[in-house]
Amino acid sequence: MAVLPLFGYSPDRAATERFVSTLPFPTLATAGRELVLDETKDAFLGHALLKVNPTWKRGAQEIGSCVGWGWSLAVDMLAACDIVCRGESEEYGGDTLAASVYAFSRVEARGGKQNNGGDGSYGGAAAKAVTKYGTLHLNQDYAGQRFSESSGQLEKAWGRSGVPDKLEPFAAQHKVASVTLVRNFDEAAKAITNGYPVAICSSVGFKMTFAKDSAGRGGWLVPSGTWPHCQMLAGVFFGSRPGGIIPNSWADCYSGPVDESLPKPFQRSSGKVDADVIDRMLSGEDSFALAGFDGFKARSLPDWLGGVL
Amino acid sequence: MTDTHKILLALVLAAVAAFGVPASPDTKPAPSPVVVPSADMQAAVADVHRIMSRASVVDRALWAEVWAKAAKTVNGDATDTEVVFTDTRALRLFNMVALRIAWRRLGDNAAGKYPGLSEATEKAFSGVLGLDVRPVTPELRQRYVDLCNALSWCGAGKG
Repeated sequence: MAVLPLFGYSPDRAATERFVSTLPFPTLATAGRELVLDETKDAFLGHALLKVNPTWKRGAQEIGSCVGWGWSLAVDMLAACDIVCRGESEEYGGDTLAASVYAFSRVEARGGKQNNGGDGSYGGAAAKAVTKYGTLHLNQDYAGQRFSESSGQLEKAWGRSGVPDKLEPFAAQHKVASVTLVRNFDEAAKAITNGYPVAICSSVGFKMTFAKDSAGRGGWLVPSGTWPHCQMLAGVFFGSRPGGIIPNSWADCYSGPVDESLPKPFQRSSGKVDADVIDRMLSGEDSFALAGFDGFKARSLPDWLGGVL
Repeated sequence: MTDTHKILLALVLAAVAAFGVPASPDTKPAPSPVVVPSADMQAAVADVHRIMSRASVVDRALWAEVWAKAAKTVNGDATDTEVVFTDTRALRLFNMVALRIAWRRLGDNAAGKYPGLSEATEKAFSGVLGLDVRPVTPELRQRYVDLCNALSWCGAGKG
């Protein structure tokens, strides 16, 4: 399948700065004082996602909606970590409908009624979208309306008109409680190792073919060119060559030698990026850690005794 | 006060009632009266009854007291002005905390001490109450109380 490398990150630094200035804790340095970075433990939040959604597979954006796709996957990883890592009494309510985040970020979060400009959005708008307007999810019943995928057609339409008013109350039930600006690899690693994903908006591009490291492990992305693109950071690792794992939104898009230690659904849809490159990706100050998803109430008990007997 | 706190407080009071207060020389806590379960409930706890019949006398007595007190604690919601157990998640949490304190810590009973007991008790709960998360109605509360009394009966050496 031919890869269609669609982007869609249209930075608006002033707008993001205005949004960040409204946050009670604008940066991870202030928000995450109690968070500890343990560099002895690598972390990959994709394991939690696969635990709550074993058939997960990365899809491919069809228009310049990467901000919706990158942020939606970050929300899904947050929801999964709330359940798996933090033991919250919730259940996974289906993948986030990227069109909802994308549309909220283009229209409602900017205070407009419509947005007839070209495709694209930016991190600060998506951060406002998920915290103020919430998220819709695949295969949920919204008064008789269900969404089985986030199609380019839907994203194009909603990206202009916003999320339909009748669906907004459903989205409002599932907000992200807080977001905070992440400005470098160390801050990102602190968030990830504590189970909080990071949505990344950056202009750093990469080759589409993986490279191997000196130990012969594949899956490494080599910086190349410019991608005005939104993705997310799903994992970090330390040791002699620290870095992070970044899923893209172009399905199984990468060729070359994979890192076989990653779960299969991530091997060709995600790449490993060096820490210093991640520093560059985050330096644009439009990338955010997410915390506290208002999830779906569990509909059934796992058991009655919790294994005490 | 959160539901968790209420449940913990209820448990502490129940534990004190069952085991905790130092008895004066001339008084002893009276054992809970044994309620004979209905035929349906006896069938639901049949496997537990079989396993407990081979348990030590001390463990049987503890088992009987734990479930009798659980029944009494939850039944208190029927008359109290402030309801403690609002949904099945709260009842599950209460089960876990009650058993962890009374059966495991106070009784020194490790998980798996009686093979099959965990599965049999789970089966009784899911058979009588299901596994849905739902509000505690008076009917559901009564089913829970009846089941706890039936479990208590399994430890009382009756039947």
